Amino acid sequence: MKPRLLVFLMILGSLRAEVQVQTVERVNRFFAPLTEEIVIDGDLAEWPADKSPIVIDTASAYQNPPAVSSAADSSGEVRMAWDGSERLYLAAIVRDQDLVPLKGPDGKPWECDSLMLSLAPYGPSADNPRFHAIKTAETAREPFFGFSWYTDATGPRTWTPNSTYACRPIDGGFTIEASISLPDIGFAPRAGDRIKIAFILPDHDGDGSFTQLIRGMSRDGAKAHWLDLRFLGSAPYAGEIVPTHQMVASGSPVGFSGQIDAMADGLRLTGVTLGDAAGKELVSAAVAAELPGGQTTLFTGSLPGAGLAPGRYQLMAQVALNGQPLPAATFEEVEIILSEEEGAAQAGLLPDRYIVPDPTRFAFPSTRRGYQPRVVTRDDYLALTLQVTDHLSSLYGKGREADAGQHGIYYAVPSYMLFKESGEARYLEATLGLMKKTHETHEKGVVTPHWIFLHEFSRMLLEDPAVPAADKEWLRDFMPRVIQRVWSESRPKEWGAFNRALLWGGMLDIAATLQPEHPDVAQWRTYAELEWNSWWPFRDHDENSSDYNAASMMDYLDWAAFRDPANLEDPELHRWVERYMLQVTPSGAMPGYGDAGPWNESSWQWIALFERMATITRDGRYKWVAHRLFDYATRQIEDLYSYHMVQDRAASMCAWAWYYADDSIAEVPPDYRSQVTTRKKVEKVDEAFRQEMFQEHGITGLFFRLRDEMQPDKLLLRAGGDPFAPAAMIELCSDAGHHASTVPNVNSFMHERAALLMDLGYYEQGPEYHNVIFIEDLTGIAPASGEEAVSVVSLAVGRMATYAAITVENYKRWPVTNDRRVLFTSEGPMLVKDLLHFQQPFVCRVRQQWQTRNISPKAGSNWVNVNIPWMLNSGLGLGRGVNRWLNPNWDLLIYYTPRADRDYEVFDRSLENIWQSVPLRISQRWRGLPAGDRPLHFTSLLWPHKPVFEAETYAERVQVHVDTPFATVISMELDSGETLYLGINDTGERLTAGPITTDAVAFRVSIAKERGGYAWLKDATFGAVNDNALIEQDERGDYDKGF
Amino acid sequence: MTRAFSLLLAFCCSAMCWAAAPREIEAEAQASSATIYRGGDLLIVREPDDGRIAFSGDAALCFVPRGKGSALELSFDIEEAGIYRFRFYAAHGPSCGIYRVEQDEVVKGWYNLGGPQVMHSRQLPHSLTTKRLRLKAGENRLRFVSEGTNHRGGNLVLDSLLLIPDALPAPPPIDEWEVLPVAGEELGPELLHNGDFELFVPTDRFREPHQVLHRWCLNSVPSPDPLIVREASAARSGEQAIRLAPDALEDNTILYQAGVPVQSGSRYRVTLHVRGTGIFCAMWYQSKGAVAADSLHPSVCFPAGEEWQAYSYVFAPSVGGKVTQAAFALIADHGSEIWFDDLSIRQILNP
Repeated sequence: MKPRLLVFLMILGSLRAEVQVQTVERVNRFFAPLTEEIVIDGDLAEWPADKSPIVIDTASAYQNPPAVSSAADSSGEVRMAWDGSERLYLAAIVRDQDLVPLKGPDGKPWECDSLMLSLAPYGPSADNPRFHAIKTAETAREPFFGFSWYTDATGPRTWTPNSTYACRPIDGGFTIEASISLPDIGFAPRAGDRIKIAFILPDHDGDGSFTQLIRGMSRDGAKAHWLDLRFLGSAPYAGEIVPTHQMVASGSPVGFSGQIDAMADGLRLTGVTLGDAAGKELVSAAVAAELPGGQTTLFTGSLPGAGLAPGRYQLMAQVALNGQPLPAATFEEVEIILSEEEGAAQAGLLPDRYIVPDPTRFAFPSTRRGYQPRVVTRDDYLALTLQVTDHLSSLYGKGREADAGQHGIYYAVPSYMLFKESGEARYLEATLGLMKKTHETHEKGVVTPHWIFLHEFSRMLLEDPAVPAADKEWLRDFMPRVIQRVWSESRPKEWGAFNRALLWGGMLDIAATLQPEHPDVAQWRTYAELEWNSWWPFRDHDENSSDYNAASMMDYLDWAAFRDPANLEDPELHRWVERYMLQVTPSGAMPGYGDAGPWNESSWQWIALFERMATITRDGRYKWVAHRLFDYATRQIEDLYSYHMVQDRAASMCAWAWYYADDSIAEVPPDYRSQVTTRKKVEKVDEAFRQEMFQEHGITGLFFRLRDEMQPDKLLLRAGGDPFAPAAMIELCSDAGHHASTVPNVNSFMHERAALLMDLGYYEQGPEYHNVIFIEDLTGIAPASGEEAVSVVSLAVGRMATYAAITVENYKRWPVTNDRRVLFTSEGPMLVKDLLHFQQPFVCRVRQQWQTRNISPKAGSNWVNVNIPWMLNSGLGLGRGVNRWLNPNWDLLIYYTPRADRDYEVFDRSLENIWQSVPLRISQRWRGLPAGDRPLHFTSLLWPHKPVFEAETYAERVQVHVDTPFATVISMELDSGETLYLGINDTGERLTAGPITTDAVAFRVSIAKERGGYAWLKDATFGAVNDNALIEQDERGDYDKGF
Repeated sequence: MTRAFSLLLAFCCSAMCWAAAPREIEAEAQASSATIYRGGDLLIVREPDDGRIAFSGDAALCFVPRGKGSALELSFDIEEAGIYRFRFYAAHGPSCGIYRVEQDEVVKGWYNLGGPQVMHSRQLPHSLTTKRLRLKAGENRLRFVSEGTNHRGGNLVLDSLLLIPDALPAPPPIDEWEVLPVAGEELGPELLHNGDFELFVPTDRFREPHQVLHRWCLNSVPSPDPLIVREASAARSGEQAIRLAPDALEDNTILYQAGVPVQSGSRYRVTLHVRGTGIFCAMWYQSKGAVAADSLHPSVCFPAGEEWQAYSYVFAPSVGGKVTQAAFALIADHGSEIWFDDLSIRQILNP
């Protein structure tokens, strides 16, 4: 049967609601019907017959490795049921001619004949708190278990404390009957909930052959469908209905989508209702849609929200059987919240392909009301650590037997800090167990990453009187074994002030001290000295990556302190770290750049580093920034238990933050005014130096070296320390370690605590992925030029605005100079103008581009409205582990000055890599052969504003007074009623735009609706508003005050 | 100046037809039969008059991909079905990108056309040649798929194209091996990891090039048959061995282990147990700066026999290369089928 699409239009009062209904065939969907309590004895007689069990055979599953000879050799049928509460039942018939039992009580299910089951939240259940409770089993987010064939000698495998199973032999195989405790795995389902399940059927035969049938798991993208399992209640149907936004503004429509599995004929969907918490019906939309038995019906639409007071409501679907209404309460209900913020949000209605109805977008209204900066103390760091260790009680609870292999070192730190604070022996036991297992992996040939903190941590344990003497014996061997393991595996062939060489140098320096009699100690000392001199004389490194820098800084400090604790007092060292402290925005976010997660990925490392720096320097600015980072991170992270959070990042680094923090140091906000930060010059190594390093030291891997001169690093655009104030960062560092040049990328732009522009990292290195000018060589053979040269030719900081002019010669090694002019304001709007001077013109296409995630459905010929609902980080940017930062709800109008010779493009890169946080590229384009004597120019106004469906109400308030390569003036009427004029003038002459006449190089003038205003005129001899002169003088000077 | 960069948008040539003998044709002549997938621009570019690069026929075909995954497909008529290699001449330079060439969605080669300066591939030591292709009589199609940019651009500038009837490589010269044990030789601990291949677990399988399993890395396209043989009867000892057998279109199959801690100034006893048909080789990938001239046996090749045979020789890394570790590769040559088991690399402790 083909899907049917029906559209129902309904008139409710004066408002129109629309519901779309579509019936589809079920694919890979199975059910857990209600059942009475089942006795777990392997006898499946009490199970009702199921006409459509889950079959696992060569036709439905894939094999790895091949091959199953026949269904009799290996196949299975599985049925599921539940008791309506806490128990999920499983009945399976496994066909297998030759049974190989569990090897021992701790045997693995893949080593014998078993049925392995995986189950996980999915779709609406993935975000439902009923599926995120504390778990008692070591199951992470996707519980996984093997029901193995067993003998009396071993008995069945054990899993969660309250789960059981039993097997019985049958002719040609065996049965499995299982009772799974749902609370044990953190699940508390209600009828209608849906999870995903998958199976593996390992089959061993007596001749040693092995195969396994896999159903519901991915194999190279083929047959990758998980199986759906829906919990059924007593009603003849089950399903779900969810709001498209968890929070909507008062008066806005309430969007919803849902699906219903009908288990009988004669069912109809008769309506969708919004009710109060008690279930009282408030708003209804009538529907008349058949729900064909045995099929799934999808529906989506919206209800009018006019007249509803802020509060919590429930969405319900009404279903009738043979014309008789069924109680709505039998249907799954979902709560929604109406925003208390007037006008803070609008639910989008048009299903444009770029509109993602993501409920998380509205979870954080961008408003001061309700926002309280969090007071952070070192106890908060430890509380997070404790939260994580409680979550991982199945690991830490094993005490001495706790085993995380080589990764145990990351888990041991939180445990030990908890011991230091509480004195509870169980934490020390877990610490020593984890460390011992790590130690033992070294003997097996596994190499622990040789972080320099390993030395500090093992030293702490050795000096702790609570650690038993017997443990200190092997702890004394911990570092020598790490060193020996690493040294015997490979020898350092790289040099430079970057992560790998740093760790080698620091580790061998420590090794030479710990083992002065070692036969290779001279080699260790030589390399350590060589590496030390790559960075210490400069107090800097050659990398430019928010992640690699975060990971390395603590090691630089550790090494410096190892050589001499007084090194930590060095002011040049402080200058180096200060640069990173200033990159943190007043809201507490650390934008990503270089080879890195694109947003705030290493915040936890930065917290620990800045707490340590606060203690070293007694400088309260570090304290302030560490606390803002912690506030932002804990407030905005979507799931603390996701990728890189608890396992090796948040818990471990918060433990270190607690260790280093000194709360007697008072917070002091940094001076959040715009500035250019600098770093030691990063230079590519030349061939002569390569030869020298190879001949003298056998070094083959070297890329950059530092020089004593300074170079620009970042342009930080700031409007004070208010977390809601605008803040932006522009990249000024060209090629460096773990960073292919992106200058002059607008790496981030925030307003009202929301990220409006952001970067992409790792494999998205080329200019096409960043907020820069992108030149395409249409000949393919345009000449190369020299290395990029970046300079900030002008930086003027007024009370209400900043003007900066950046010049990039040999832009991306084109024979082109890019002059980027930026006029940044305290109100939010930012003017970005790019001038391109072609020294050797070539046929090309040039864009000024902005990267984003969502585009509003309404757009103009030269403007679009965009937003980023959340910032995605994933392993190497390739989806290898994922976490998301939720973004406050705020929009950005991108307004290009209209030009006759331009066209516009929205390019969706989602197919290229779905893990890009900002996969859409917006650009204004020019194509042709540039003139050599006149620059090409592009101008954008970036205007942050509250989200509105009618984005044109902002675009219509923009007026372009002049826009030539030599002068630009744009005005806009702000929400406050003021008109804001932004101007850049390279002519040196007076220009008049609207009521303003001035020869200022740059200006920002706001004119109130009634009278008066504020003006900032940069380098002006004359300035007047409505013919009232503000400044008139012979020498150029600034004006910065109200009028 | 404008002439140098002017574009000739001419699509003027009919489809070309190749006989068995190689013949070079101009890429720009293929424009009319080209197809673009997932966006991009195709232009014919004249040779610039400043001598920066010279094109045969004074012009080249320039493909500007819209993004990663954009592709240009060219069509060729072949008179005689058979096995060929495809060679193309192209511009390298800062505007040029990274491409793979596919035939029927099977990758036949990867090419990074980037470079600091504009150069023609004829000026470079390595030709841009695909693996062998099986072509049918009549129309055949090859696709150039953009894999990314080199920071400035991702263009493909094709000057001319060549289909070469394939000639199998000449067999390598055969080396001599020593009979074990060597009298008086003292050996250090084993340096090769998983040399008996017994650490592979039942789920391990080499599925794609560059996949690493228990430190062994496949450097070839995997054959349909498993490389890890899990039959005790097929192994020399234990229950597992490795079987390398290149497909008829491949030069060889290579499996290697990186990070073997061998050092300049030391000698190593390498022992391999091998059976099969054809020729196999063992090769060391040494670090930059190493040269074959001052290495001892950086690459050896032996004939395999039907029964398990121990092959042993001494390897000494390049002294000038200041080697501290190297990769050890097993190579089954074209047309061979080779089983490996019980491999060993140990330092010779005698002076």
